[in-house]
Amino acid sequence: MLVKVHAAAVVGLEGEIVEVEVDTTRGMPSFTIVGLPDTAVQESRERVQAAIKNAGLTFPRHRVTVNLAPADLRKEGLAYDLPIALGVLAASEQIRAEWLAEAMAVGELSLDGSVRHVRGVLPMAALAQQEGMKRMFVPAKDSAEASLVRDLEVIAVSSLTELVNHLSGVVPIPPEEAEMHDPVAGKVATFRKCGGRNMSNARWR
Amino acid sequence: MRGQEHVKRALEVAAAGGHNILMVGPPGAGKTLLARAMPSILPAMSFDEALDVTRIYSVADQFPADTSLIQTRPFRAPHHTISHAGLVGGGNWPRPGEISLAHRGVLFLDELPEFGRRVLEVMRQPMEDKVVTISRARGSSTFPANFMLIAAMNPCPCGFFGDLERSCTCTPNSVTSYQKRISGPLLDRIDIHVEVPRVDFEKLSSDRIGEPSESVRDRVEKAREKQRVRFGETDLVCNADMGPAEVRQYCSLDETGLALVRQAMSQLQLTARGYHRVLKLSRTIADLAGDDEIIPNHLAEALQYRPRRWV
Repeated sequence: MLVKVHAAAVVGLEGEIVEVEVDTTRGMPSFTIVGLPDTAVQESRERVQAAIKNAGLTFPRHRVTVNLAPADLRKEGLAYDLPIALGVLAASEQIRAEWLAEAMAVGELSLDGSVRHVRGVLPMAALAQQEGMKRMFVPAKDSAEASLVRDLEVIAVSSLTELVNHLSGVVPIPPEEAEMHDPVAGKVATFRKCGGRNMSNARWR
Repeated sequence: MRGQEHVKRALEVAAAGGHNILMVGPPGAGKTLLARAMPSILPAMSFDEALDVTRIYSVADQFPADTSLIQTRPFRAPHHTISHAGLVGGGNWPRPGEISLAHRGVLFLDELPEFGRRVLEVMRQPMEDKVVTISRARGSSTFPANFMLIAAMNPCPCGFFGDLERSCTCTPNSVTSYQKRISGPLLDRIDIHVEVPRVDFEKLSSDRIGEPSESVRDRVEKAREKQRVRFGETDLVCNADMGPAEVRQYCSLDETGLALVRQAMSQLQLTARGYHRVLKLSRTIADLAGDDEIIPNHLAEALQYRPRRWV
């Protein structure tokens, strides 16, 4: 079965959508990640397998292929552990794929299934909102940062078990309350271009 | 903090308009202390500015614990052993460097001549453009870098050149070569040059208490408010951000002012950039005084902050 989960990469100061596609087919049990992953992303295979097992779920005894699209963007860092794990669980029908629709997930997994901090959550959350996502699953430590973005339901996740229970409706996690900082905080999502004075906007006058 | 009233004034002007400043003086005169007190007189950040800063810290993974939005202006004081990639940003996947982490805040370079020459020179372009573009084989990224530079240095290797009490033990050659470590183009980009002499005993031991930071900050906030109104919906935040077009629009001089600046151009050998910087600086001084027009007094104060030759 094929499942797509949304994740994000950070290029410069901007986020970029990464689609995590997970496919399971019958065959020799294996776990492959393609789509220009760097070493840290390759190693996420080991973390995801251990985290799923230690969260009390089962890693499918199938041929599992993960593709990180777009394939020309080099994926680095640890933010893909959580979306890969969710994709594997959905593809092996332990959670339902429609629960992940219109949502973005980022987070590093620990072997015991707890979710760790990743960098660049604010630009990713801003991107999720721009792309019309309804909610975002972020590590509990980064939830305050993500909740700066309006019109996005931020779910703070501290472990994979907790997230699965939330998705299945057993123990729902209340969305993060946005801290009010300023009454005129409407224009959050777009990163205002800094007052840069490049040669391009200099004029002969 | 006791004494150094003229330096405090210079720092106040710098804070009000976001201008760069260089402090020169013997060791122990209080340069570092004065610079570190700077955040206490800086104006508060608007929500948009705070969001810009927060985003940079999020990407650089330097987010302070238990905060969601960074609301105080950054103050970055990198050690002089920093590499040029550490200062402007770099890496296979470009990450923001110190100048971007100091965006909307202060970059404090203590012991300026000790920084590598190449390290200092890479700052030249971002200091004008307020952004830095880092290009690597895998692509390029642009980071904002609209910072206020505060630099401090001794006038010579022994530190006492020009000191009234203690004589300098350096040879003229070593003084020159020490000061030449900082290039002219970099000095030209620093609006305010101020000498920080030693504090004498009477001032140090007196019970007179200096002005509290809060009242200085109130004046700075008022001057910034004038600038906010002036720049309205544009991207500009403070006077230092103005380009040539805005300088022409907002920094007009009267007859006496024009005569003064004409004289200064030839006597101080001002460059075109220096000329614009003097005008921007006098705009800030006028804003601090609450005046709409730049009068010769403001211009004169701005001119005396221009770099002078020490040797």
